[in-house]
Amino acid sequence: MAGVRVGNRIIGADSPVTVGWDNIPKVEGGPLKRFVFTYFQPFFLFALVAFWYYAPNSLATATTAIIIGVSFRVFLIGIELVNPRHDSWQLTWKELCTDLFYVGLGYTVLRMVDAYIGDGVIIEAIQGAYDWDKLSWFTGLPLLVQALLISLIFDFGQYWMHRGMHNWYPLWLTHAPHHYITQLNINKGAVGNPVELFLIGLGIGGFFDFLPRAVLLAGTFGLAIGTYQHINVRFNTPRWWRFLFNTTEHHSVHHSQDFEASRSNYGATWIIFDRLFGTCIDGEAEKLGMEGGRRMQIRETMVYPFTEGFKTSKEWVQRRFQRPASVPAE
Amino acid sequence: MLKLPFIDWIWRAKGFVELAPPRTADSAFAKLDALLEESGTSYEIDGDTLTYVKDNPAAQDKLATFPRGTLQVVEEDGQSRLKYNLTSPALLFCFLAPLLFLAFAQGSIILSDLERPTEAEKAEAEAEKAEEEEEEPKPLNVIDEWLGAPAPETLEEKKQREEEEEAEKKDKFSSTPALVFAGLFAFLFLVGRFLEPWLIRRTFRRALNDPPEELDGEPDIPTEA
Repeated sequence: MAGVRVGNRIIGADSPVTVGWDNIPKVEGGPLKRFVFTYFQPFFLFALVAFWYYAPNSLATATTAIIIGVSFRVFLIGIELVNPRHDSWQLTWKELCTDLFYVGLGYTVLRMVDAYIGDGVIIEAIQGAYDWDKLSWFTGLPLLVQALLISLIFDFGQYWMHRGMHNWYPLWLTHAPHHYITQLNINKGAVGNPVELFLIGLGIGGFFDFLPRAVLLAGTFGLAIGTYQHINVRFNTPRWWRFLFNTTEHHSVHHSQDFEASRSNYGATWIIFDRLFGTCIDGEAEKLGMEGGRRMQIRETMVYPFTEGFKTSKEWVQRRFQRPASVPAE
Repeated sequence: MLKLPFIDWIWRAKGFVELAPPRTADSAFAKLDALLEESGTSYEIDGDTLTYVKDNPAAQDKLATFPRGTLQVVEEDGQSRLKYNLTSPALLFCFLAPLLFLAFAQGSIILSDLERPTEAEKAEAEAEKAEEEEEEPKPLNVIDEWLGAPAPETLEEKKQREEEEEAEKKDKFSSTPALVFAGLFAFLFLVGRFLEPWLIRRTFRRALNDPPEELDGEPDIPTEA
């Protein structure tokens, strides 16, 4: 496979990757379908932002955010069935059960762990140790500016954590199971080893004071933009959207079986950090995963970082301390 | 998988597909080649019986839910039939998953009990809170006021809300998410228990009885004997 040169890298030499927006297929069907799947993403983003901006205080709560978040995801699963990007990513009963198992872990066990060692606890400890108060620089800014700052600060952290995972072996061990997914669906973002899911959720937002409504607005950016990373829906994504935000096209490149392509598009909600730091590749891929598309099962996902880490450490120790086999003298 | 006749309905799918026109075992198994040629599949044919095993099937493998099974071509009631007896670890997993999430719910209750503050700790926390002088929130930025966003809640409103929340939420950890997922997996099991055997029967029927070009999702067309 020849691949395509992007900067000083060859993309698609190991596995097919479509590079460039002009080469990506468009939504097929009548004018209504094309209209819906062109403006779907911006419509829901603006609608949700408007809701959180104007909702009365009694409604602007975390509970409402959870209800909207879950309902929106269920709705998107329905959309996946109506207009799939690839038939080879079709959601099956078994895939849905597997995905929801990881989602369930996130809502239960991981939340309990987070309560003891999550970023909130760490930041509180640091603030207590240095007698710091929260940095309340931003509370006087317009709500949407605050929301943008929260989202950008969190995404900046995620970008580097994610890039670190692809470049530092101990972190890669935690992230590798997520790269064994062979198709994208709404809940695939939750699929992975719990250690990774804990690490990627760490943020420094807790150091700052923001208005609660701004935090809810920032959460909406995650829901109405970040969720599309793992969706199996063909959109005619508007040019401005795909310039600013991470899309399922970008993220499919990141999950490609092509090694070089997988080292790109590290952002979660925003793609601008990738553009800024030279890791963005505009395009899409259908063949996803590792080891030729081997599907990693739940049991292996749970233990992979530890078993692989142990294996690698053992090999290193053997190489370091074992003398080479003696060669008999002639 | 263990042979447990009274409970194996949880993970087993049994049934038959009529072969029209009647086929020999070799001819019927040849029609199933596409299903058995997927990567990670091994199978053995012994006379009229085919036994297959799929090692970690791909997500889109049509037999992914049933990675082990036995297929037999028989003559019964004057009909030629393919009888199947398939095993699904995924159905068993889905059946057991609610128990795991119920255990998580119980774990959250136990942890909450352990974390429940004593009266002395509660008094200390309240005293600390009383010492902290909270300020009224700053007014909204003029742009937000102009656009009509609701003003942030006042200290009194915040206190009232926190009291209401306190009354509702007594525990550090809520067992609700774990209970919701236990219910969800119970529901998914019921769906899968009926959907997956129905899908696999349809897959076999189409592979065995439809003309080759009709295999993929086309409506059934009666074949002439």
